[in-house]
Amino acid sequence: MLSEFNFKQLRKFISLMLALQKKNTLFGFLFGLIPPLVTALSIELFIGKIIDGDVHTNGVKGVSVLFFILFSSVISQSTEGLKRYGSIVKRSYLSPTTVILAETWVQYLSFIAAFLIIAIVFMIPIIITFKLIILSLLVLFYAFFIAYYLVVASSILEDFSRIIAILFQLIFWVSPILYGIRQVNHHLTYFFILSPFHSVFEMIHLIFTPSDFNIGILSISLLSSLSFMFLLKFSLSRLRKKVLVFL
Amino acid sequence: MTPQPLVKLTDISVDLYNNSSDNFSFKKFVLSRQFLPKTISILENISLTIHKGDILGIEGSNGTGKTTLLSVIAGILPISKGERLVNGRCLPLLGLGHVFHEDLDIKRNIELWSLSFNSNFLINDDFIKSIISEAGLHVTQDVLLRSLSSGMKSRLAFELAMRDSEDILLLDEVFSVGDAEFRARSGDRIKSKLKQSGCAVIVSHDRDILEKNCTQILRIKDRKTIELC
Repeated sequence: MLSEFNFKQLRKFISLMLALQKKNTLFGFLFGLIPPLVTALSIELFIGKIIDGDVHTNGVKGVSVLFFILFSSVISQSTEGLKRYGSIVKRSYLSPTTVILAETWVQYLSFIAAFLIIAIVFMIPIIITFKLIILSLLVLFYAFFIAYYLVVASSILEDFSRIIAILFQLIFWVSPILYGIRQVNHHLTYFFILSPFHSVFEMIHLIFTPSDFNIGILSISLLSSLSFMFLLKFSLSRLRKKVLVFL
Repeated sequence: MTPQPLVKLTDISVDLYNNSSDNFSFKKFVLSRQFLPKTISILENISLTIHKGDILGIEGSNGTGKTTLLSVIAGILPISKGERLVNGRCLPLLGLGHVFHEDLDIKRNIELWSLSFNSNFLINDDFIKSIISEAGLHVTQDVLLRSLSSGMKSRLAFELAMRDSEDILLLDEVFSVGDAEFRARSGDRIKSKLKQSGCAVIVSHDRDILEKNCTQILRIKDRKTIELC
């Protein structure tokens, strides 16, 4: 699926996107970190305390929020990015995959900077920080994979950005970011576990609290994510090859 | 033995999705259960062979598929049927300035051009200064593209196109941009570039331009018929 682009083009395009989005300055880059950091800190410090009733905070909610923002921004910015650069893509050799990958990496750079700030603020142990970085790379691949196929839908449906915004709102509330899956009424647990995005937050929870490991919950979550990836590939791969004719 | 053609299209068909179709929204999809917009056949069973030294002119009414044909030769647009063989590097100029970004400066736009066309420009200060100077822009390289007039953008794109090296040059109405002075100057430079390229395909509504520059002229009559003029 990566045959249509080359790394040299990707590297140069990322550099151009950084110049465009961050104005090529440290200040521009740091300015872009404010919204995700404010959201992560608000949820960790205020909403987290209200729900848990616990003054002690370990950063798990803030980190979960940042992972959610990474996930949603990669998908929304990549799909919108292809529309933004559509006039260039359909008249030159700038490949759609380059645009999606470049947007993905630009979002990841912001994520990793915001994540390290949260890790320092909440004094997250180095081993947990390291595990979360490894997990973030898996999430990055997962989000890229979804964006890679969803660009077809975003190219066809003019109201795709509105749909995806509603979907992400739904995903946010059904994902155990504000609450833990183990706090949910056990009759409804499977409803949450079957969400293809639950696996990410389950793994974040397990990195912070390994004692909660439950093979059933984790394997169903992972199976749900893999099934979702397979479904996307199966249903959209034929159209994905023709994405240029929709732009 | 006949030399291998630089471009060979055999019975190619191109179907595009109708952008003017009203079936693009999710609401429509739910109501009509039609996920994809309607397809239009732009080209059907078209064959074309271009050899080294050929300068092919293409004319035809609006919407007959001239630009689509150039996109297919360039390998940008996927074909729905047929076979496409291209031996060499294409430079598809489907308009001038279409790969620029308004919010990037001139230097970055030159980089964007280079990566968009896989050009092998050695981009340094001297190169950028010479591009700006030859294009007659009288601005610095850190000026944002949005501050340039459309004529200036065309001149910048034209200068970059002239610096590129390719085997197959594909030009879509690039003769008709800019003011009279620019057109006169660009016409001469395109002529000398056409001689350097392996082959070229020129799309234009101006019969005079095609007759002056091309070794043969084809007319796209409809989606199925290309005839020699």
